[in-house]
Amino acid sequence: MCELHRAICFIVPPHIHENVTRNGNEKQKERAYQALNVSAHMRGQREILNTFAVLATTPTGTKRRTIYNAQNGLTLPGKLVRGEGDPKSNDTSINEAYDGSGKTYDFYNKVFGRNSIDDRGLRLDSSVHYRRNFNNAFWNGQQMVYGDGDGQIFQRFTKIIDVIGHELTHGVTQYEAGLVYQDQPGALNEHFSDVFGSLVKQYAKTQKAKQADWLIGEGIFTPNVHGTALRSMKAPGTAYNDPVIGKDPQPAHMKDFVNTTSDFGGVHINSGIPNKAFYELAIALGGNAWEKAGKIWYRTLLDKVQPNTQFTQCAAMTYEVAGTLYGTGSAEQKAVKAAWAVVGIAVGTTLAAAAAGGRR
Amino acid sequence: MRISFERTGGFGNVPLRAEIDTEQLPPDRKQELERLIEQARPFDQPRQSATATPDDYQYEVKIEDSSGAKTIRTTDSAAKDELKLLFDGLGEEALRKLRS
Repeated sequence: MCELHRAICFIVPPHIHENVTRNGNEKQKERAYQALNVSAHMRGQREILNTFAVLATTPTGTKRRTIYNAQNGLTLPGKLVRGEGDPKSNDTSINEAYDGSGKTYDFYNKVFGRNSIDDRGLRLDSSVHYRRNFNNAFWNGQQMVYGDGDGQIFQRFTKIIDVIGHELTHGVTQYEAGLVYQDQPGALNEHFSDVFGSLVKQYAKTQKAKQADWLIGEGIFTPNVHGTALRSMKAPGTAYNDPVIGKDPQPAHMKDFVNTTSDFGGVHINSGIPNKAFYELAIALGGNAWEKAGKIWYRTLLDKVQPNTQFTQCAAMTYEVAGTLYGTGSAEQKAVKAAWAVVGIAVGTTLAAAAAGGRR
Repeated sequence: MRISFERTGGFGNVPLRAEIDTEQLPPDRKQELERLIEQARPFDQPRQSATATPDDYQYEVKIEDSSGAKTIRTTDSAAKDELKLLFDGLGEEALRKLRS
C-alpha cells in the first residue's frame, strides 16, 4: 500500500464508518469494516503513527469485535458474520470467537487499563472455520485465525478461552516488546501468551491461583487422545502422553532445555521453563494471579523486554520490576527470585543485573 | 513416488511425521496427491521471507521419484495457496498412516 493510499484511508473519519457498520446494508457494512480495519491496524504501527499523528486520533475505551467466516477456505478474513453488539449467531464457533475475544479485551482493560491489543482500541478481528480439518489457531500479525480441528485429534480451537487469550496476547507482544519468534526470544513470546491466556481464563472464572488448573488448551483434544491439555504450566511435560501424537515435550528446568531447529527453535517447548517459574510465583504470592504476578509480568513486557531478550535477561527484568512495584527486598521481589531458582535461573546477583539491560 | 512429510510448530506443536509411498495408496488417493503436487509445483517456489508469525506451522517435505529427490522447507504463512492445499492433503495422509 502506498503512503498516499494510507493517508486517504483516514480521510473518512472513523465514526462515519462506524455508523455505516450499524446502519448500512450488508455490502456497505463490509466496506466500512474494511476501512476501519485498515485505519485501526495503521494506528497500531508506531512508525506510521508518527507520520499521521493527528489523523490517527481515535476514540478510546471501546470494545470492537468483528468475526469473519472463512467458510473452510484459504481466503482471509472471509465473510463478515458478526460485529460488535450484533445478535448471537447460530454458529457456535462464531459466538465463541466473539465471546472469547470480549473476555480477553475485558481482562486487559479491567486489570491493566489496556485498550485492546495496541492500547489504542484496535478492532479485534477473528476468522473462524479456516481451511478444512485445520488443527491450528494463530495470530497472523493482524488478526486471529481459528481452525475447526480434524475431529480425530483436535476439536475446534475457539472452544478454549485460553487459546483465544493466547492468540490475542501475541498481538500485545507484537506491539509492545516485539519479541522475535525464534529460539529463546520466541519461547518467551510463547510464554507471555501462555501466561496471559491462562490469566484470561482465571479472571473469567474468578479463580485464585491455587484453584486454577494452569493448563493451556484443556479440553482441546478429542476423547481419542490420552491427554488433558496441550501444556501444563504447573507441571510442564505432563499434559499428554499418547501412542499416536507422542508425549508432551516441555522441560520444566534449564538443565533440560531442548536445542532443536524445529518449531522455530522449540518456542512451544522451552516456554515450559518460564511458564513453570510464573506458576511458582503465582502460587507463592497467593490470591488472584493477575493481581501481583500478572502485574509484574505485564509491566516487564511493556517496559523492559526487547526483541532479542533471553531467559536469564527476562528473569532479571521481572526481578527489577518487582522491586520497582513492591520495593527492593520486598516479599514479592524475593518470591520472584525464588520462582526463577526453581527452574534453574539465578536472579538478584550482580551478573544477572548486568544481564538485564532492558529498556528504561 | 516417496514422500517424507514433517510438520512442526502450530499452537499445539504436536509434530506430524510420516513416510508416504504413493504406490502403496489406493488409486484415488494416489491420484489426488499427484494432482495436488502438480498444482502446487512445490519446487518452483520463490524464496520465502524469514519472518515467522506466531503459532505458524513449519514444514519439511522431501519428494523422491525416478528423476531424483528434492526437499522444500517453508512455513505455512509463507506458502502460496496451492502449496497449503498440498500440505493439508499430505497432513491427512500422514495422520491416516499414523492411526492405522
